Amino acid sequence: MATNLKPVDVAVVGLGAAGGVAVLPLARAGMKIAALEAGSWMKTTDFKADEIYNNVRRRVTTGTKVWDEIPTFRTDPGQPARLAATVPPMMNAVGGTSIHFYANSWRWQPWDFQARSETIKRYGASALPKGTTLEDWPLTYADLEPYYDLIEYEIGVSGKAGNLQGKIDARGNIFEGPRKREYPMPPLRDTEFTDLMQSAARKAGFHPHRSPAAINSQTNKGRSACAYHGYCDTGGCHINAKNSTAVTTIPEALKTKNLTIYERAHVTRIVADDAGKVTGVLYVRDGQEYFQPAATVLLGSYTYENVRLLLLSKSKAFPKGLSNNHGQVGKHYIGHWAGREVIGLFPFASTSGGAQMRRVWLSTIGRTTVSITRASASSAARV
Amino acid sequence: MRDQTLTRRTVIVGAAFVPLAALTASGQTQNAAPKLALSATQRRTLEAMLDRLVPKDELGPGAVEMGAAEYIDRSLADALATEKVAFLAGLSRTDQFATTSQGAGFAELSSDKKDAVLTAMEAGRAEGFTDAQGFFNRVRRLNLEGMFGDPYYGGNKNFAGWDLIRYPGAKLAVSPQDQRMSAAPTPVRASVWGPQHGH
Repeated sequence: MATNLKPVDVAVVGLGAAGGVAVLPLARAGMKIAALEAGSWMKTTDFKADEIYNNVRRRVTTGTKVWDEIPTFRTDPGQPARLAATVPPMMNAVGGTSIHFYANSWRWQPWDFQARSETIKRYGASALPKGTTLEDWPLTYADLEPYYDLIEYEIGVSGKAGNLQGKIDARGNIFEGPRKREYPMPPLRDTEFTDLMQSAARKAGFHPHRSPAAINSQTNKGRSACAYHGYCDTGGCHINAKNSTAVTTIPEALKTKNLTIYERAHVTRIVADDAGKVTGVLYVRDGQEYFQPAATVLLGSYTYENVRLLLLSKSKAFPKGLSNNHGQVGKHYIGHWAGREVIGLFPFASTSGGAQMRRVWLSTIGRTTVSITRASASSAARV
Repeated sequence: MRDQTLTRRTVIVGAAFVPLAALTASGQTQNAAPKLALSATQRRTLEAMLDRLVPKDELGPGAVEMGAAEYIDRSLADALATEKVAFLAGLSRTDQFATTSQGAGFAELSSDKKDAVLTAMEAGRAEGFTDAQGFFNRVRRLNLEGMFGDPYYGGNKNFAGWDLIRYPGAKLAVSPQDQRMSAAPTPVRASVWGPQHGH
């Protein structure tokens, strides 16, 4: 029998990149928040300059829960469901994936908000595949710009504006939408290598610029500047210079005393009354079941978990799962983890860091999906 | 025990320099006698395979000298324990295939015949496996991890792997000078888990 807890204004499921940001304005507005996070707090000593630890065994990004809950997939309904060959880094921790992400902090292009109408305008209606469900977003870049600005300054992003209120600056991204003000921090340090790449790209007619990064290029709000040791890929930052929500918005929200974090809390169901109004969430923590009543429930636990929770949360008003009366939950799947990447092999010899120097990521979105231990183990199991 | 004297000596010497951070992580610190997964015969087959993938030559030590087999042996007893049964089956089938196709167990063969066995596995032509190519690729992949990973896990002995690819090693802070292409940084040859590892 679930223990009933004291009601809160907002229950947040998953305190990561999304939930970890959302709690700050809510807490500052005086709302009482219960954040339910399946993982725990991590410390700087959990982050090692060790690629076996980070990238091969994925000690930071995967815990027991992730290994136990690898998504299954099939390419048509007739196939048996198989475990995904790679495990997306669905890490469980306070701060979530913002702990291990590459810290690329791009705004969307104005175009991205009107992908459907802009595609038709530029290429004609026939350019869209038959039966596509692609739609424009109900808001524009201009609507969102003040919030991009807010979060860039709250978290701390290093970069160079390429479009400052319409004024184009070739040192930045000349293709970006207009921004109200410059980034809060200058770009991360250039090196001889990035100089070489930029000069080559300019000669080839491109417009290279430093990518915006949620990494401190200088001391920021009492936290250190980046030390450029380079092991934060699939790991965390050993000096808290990478601006995950665990070191930025979440601690700020805690200062208001309006946010309570429950670590190791596995939400099992969103509860709705007979009229279909959500009344709170059921969760299991250390073997004990709790009901957390809440006026509002925010889902911030990544695509798989959000969808799974909605589908599991059946009620009289939502017999096919919460908000799924039109059968749309779980369709139009978008995950960002299958990134695109180009690796270049360079003909010159570098005198330092051979392997590092020659592997150049030209990708700006998403990340590589590398085969990991479990996946390789399953292929070895067929021997 | 291999290198028992050396291990004990380096542990004792290293102990004087263990930083506080390494001591607080002592739950994860490996002791002098790490658990191993392979029998002497299995280890011999594995080493013979790795020795053909990356043999020692005039440029330096090969995979075996770098401790790649030790890395795999320890890993199968620890982080890769779920893979152990399948991996041992792969080793055993490699020996069976070597015997049926070349007339002796893998480790007994001449270099040319070993290469013929490995080439057939790599191409997926080797008989007796469900997925010879998968096993070959797995051995190759683990071999690379053993050669170039942090020596804490048993491979990259004496940092030979990092020397080979001129990897600068892990520095907690990297200076602009370290990032220059025109001058090599002074390499750091230390495990992040403490100075007792890697020798």
